[in-house]
Amino acid sequence: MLSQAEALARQGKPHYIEIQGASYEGLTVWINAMVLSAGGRILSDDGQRVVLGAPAAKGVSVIGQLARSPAADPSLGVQMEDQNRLAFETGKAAFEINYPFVYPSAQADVPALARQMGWAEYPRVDANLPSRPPVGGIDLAVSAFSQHKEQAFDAIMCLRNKENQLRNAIKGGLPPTLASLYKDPKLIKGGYPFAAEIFDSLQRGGVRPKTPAYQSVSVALQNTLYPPSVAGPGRLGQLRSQLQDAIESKGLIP
Amino acid sequence: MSAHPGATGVAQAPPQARPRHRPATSLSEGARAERRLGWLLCAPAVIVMLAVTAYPIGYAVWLSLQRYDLRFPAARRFVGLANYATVLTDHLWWTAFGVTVFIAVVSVAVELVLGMGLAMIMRWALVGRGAVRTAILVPYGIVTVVAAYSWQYAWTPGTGYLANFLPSGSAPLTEQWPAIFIFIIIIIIAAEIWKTTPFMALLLLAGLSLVPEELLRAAKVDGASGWQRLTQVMLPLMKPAILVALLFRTLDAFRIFDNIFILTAGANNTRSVSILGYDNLFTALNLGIGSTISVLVFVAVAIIAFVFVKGFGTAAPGQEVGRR
Amino acid sequence: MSTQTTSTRTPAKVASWTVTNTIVIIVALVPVLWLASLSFKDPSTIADGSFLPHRWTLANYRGIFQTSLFTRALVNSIGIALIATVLAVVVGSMAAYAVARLRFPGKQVLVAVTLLIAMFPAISLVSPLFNLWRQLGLFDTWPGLIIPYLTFSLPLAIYTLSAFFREIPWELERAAQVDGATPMQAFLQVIAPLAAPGMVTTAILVFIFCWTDFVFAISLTSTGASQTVPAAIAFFSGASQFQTPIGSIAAAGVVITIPIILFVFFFQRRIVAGLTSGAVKG
Repeated sequence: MLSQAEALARQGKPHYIEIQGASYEGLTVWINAMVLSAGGRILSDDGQRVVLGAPAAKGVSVIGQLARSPAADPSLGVQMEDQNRLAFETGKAAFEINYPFVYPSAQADVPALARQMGWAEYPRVDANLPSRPPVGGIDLAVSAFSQHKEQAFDAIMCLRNKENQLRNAIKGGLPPTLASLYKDPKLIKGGYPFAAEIFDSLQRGGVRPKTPAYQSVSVALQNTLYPPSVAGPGRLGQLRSQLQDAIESKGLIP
Repeated sequence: MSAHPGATGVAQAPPQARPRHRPATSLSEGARAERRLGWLLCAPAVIVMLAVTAYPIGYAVWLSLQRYDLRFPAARRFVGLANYATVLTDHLWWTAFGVTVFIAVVSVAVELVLGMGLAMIMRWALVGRGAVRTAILVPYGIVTVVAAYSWQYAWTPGTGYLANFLPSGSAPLTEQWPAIFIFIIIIIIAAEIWKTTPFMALLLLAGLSLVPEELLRAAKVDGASGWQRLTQVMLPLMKPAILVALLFRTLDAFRIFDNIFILTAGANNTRSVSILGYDNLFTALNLGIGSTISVLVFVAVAIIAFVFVKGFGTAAPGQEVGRR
Repeated sequence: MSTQTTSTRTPAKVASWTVTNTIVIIVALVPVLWLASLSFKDPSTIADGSFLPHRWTLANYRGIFQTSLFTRALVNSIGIALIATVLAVVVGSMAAYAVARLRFPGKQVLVAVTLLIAMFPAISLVSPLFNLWRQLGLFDTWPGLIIPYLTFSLPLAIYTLSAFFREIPWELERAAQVDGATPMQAFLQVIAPLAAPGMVTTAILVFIFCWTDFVFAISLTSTGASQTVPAAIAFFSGASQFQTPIGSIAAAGVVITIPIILFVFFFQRRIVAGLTSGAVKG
């Protein structure tokens, strides 16, 4: 994807790769996806040890590579999902790595451009390893202290029922959690033509590090590898010690 | 923080205007009545302030003495001043402190000058007085977060009108040390100045309105130039008001939060001490360290106030300088 | 109005004042106009970088008034800010008068404590206050916000007002009392009018503080019962969880600036009523 973008740049055509590079959770998502796609991981499964290692070095260097290439949007360092969407809709970009909400938005805002939109799986870091797309989501829960547990539960069942998930997917791009919906023509024809790819992506998806100190871990990642142009293997030593402090809840977080 | 009476000036009630009718040794009926009245009048304010803040401040201090991380509740224990040692030896704290001091000093200094000018305009504008006074005060009345969004969008390349003035390809809000870092700080300072100069202007105007017109006219008749009227008549008479304005504005400037939070979220070392406190308290849920940072901010601000009160002689009421 | 010599209203002066005023107004209002421009921009053109909208739309304004979230927040904001302002001026005046005019022990401690309170970072007070309010049943109520606003605006109110009270000469009060007025009448009819600039200044500052406060509004409210506008804005959402609804935020920002403009415009005449000459002479 990078070489394609660079080729486009040489031809003077729109060539940016839009991705979230601001110092926030989205950057952690990107870093995590790169590390996982390179075959490594950030923390061990139980969240007690920092792993990183050679695959992390590879994943992280890709980030730096993109940020320093002509494919990077100059605003990369302040872009979140929404800014990526806006930049793409103005036609300045060739590629965009974002959540599916951009599709209904483009259909509504810039129909002419939306007709030319295509999609592909999350880009690979290593040509031989399948990519691990980021998985996130919303959890719905009933408080144990609630005085209306029944109604809350009913509300949840309603919120995540088939019709509502269909509607959320088509209007807001939110991938459904009901597997049966992905084969449903109402979804695919209704405005979610990439249902199959999303389903595959979710099967291969990579979750973020599991630890009670997740916020600190995320902030440590955002702090060390920001702006994206400085991301590289040289930063891993500093990252390792910050992550170790984070999972032990030692000291201040930036 | 025990304030020594003299510095605040409140004990120096202008004796020349007080009829002396009390004996020196015991309190007369009048003096007792005066004390009662004084306490009575102050009571509502004191009760409200103490009731709301005593418990929270005490609780924050108590938390700062513990190792208390909400994500590891089992590890909670009393550690005395260890948190303070951790924070005060961390370079993150000192960087944030330096950034905060820089922003505070620069913005207050600029605001003092601009505020003075605006106060004079608000007082003496010949034309469209109502309009210009309202316009001056509007920036202060906008919700800070909304104004910050306005600035952020203005400076984002491609989206905003201000970014159009920059060389293409540069993104001021994201670039790194060292040269452009100053530019980000300047953007933050500019947003801060735009927002709070009206506050200074208003307080300075209050002081300015106490300068008698006759004095200025007399000075003008005596041949004093505009500059001389400013420096030798207005400024000395306004000194108490200037000090109060500086005091309150500096206290606020040191605790800057909203503008930085929206513009950069503290990235790239632009965080202020308040943002550092917020990050550790609410993002990391480390109540011990977060409270420690808050207490340290409080101490720093208290020191600033102390310097103002003792060093510059800021007084709540004005000092009788050259009046009759 | 202040006693100003209007005899020197030459064309040159008028011209120079007009120029000065125009510059000041432009600098003060350009970011506000930018906000207004963002609120009128069609969503697809928000990122186009021009100062004036290419495509105008009222959709953002329609959107924020469609749900009761914003309208309720407006009502809450106006009510809470007005009540807090009145209380702050009244309570503050009482305390400021005592501080400026009367002798009583503990005065210095009071002033010091007042300043102490103004200095503590608000964000760290929020959690304990939230807890306290929850237990007292003040969470998500108007008093629940009015009380903290009162608390944090009193220091500035007391300082500003006592500075004004101090400047008023004793003779006036004595004269009124000699004429047979009670202390209360002396205060209301002699002192208060002279301290009016101070009271108006305080009122403006307190009102704006309550109107624009974000930290307490977010933490001590949760429903339309007491949510003020800054808190409501934080809950605006775009078409999806990722979109910052800058159009709606800008529209809301413009709408809530209008009361401020009115409030300030109404009161700005009274800010600069100087001590009338002649009251003190002789």
